[in-house]
Amino acid sequence: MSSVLNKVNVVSIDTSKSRQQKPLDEELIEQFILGSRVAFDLLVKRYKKRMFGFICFQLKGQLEDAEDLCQEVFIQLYQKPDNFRHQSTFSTYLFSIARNIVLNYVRTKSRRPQSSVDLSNEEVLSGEPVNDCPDNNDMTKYYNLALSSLSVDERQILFLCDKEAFTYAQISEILAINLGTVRSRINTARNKMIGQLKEKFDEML
Amino acid sequence: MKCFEIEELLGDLIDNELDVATHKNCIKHIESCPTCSKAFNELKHLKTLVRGFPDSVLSSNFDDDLQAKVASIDKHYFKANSKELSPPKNNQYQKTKRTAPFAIAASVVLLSFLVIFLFSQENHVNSSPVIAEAKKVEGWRVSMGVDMIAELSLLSSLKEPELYLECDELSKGGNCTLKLKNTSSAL
Ligand SMILES: [Zn+2]
Repeated sequence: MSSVLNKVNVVSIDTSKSRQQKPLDEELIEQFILGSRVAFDLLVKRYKKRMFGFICFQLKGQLEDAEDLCQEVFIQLYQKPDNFRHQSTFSTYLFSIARNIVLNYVRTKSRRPQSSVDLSNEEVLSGEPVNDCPDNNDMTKYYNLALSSLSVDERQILFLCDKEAFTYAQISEILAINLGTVRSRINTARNKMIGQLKEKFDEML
Repeated sequence: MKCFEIEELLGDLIDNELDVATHKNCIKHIESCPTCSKAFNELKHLKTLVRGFPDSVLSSNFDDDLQAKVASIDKHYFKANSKELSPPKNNQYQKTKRTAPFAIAASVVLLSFLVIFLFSQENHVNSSPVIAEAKKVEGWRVSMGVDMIAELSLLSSLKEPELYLECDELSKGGNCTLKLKNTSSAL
């Protein structure tokens, strides 16, 4: 009997014939919950760059750890796909996993004084610019310096709002904060950035 | 609107979070107020800047590393059954709302299991090839509960299924007929 089931499984998840419409994230996670590894791999393919970008934006200058953390996002998904409850979209769910992983990482790191990486420390946040920046020109430099004045929370929200273009409602789900806090936090982050940029590179804005 | 009111709303404005009327009022004010216009443009520039932030590039062995980590999880969970294809899953399926096409796709899988099982029991035939056996069951009528549909869900929606299902209704106890697409060329 098991060979029959396996055979049916293989038939069912064969993706060799192209389909007119791409399956939704929510369909893929359902399929994965029921055992389709193909569905999981597709989700990884869809989201790995976005997850990595989100994590790197918060942890500049520590790309080795960022990649581990990014894998951790998908491992959590792999181990507990049922945690996705369809109360939100899959993307906000996945970003909330990434957010929690980064927060835990930051907390753990800041509890280890002997570590060379202390995220509560201004020096670390100002870190080196992302080492794969295509051009490390003046603007990028000032921009990175300005970013370094933000807390991890403020970086998170800036990325989710401006880079990922999530709505305030989605951001409130991802960060588990209310809409009022979303507003005030994004405004604080932006005002800090603009203040820093004005100071460091006045003619840019 | 006054400048201090606009100032409070600039973030919402730039993020498109305002209702249409307020949005229009803000724009109207900004167009005629240099101070607010300057603040608005600063925000706009910043947003563009963040949006254009260079993407970080994953190393080439990211996928391999992830696969290795996943494989070690599998090993841990599936020592008992090496034939298991699926990751660990919670037996309590979620009773979420599903659309009819979704449920139909799901039931295709369930019914193919059921029918193949019944056939192999009754006719004492070898259990493979699956598609060939399934072909014999064209026209069977199978009764099933909605809960069962929900429990199995769609493995088959990544492509057009070889098997398809016609249902009288999707309410509990509705009758469904399993039919096979013409797959003779594939056999
Ligand atoms: Zn004004």
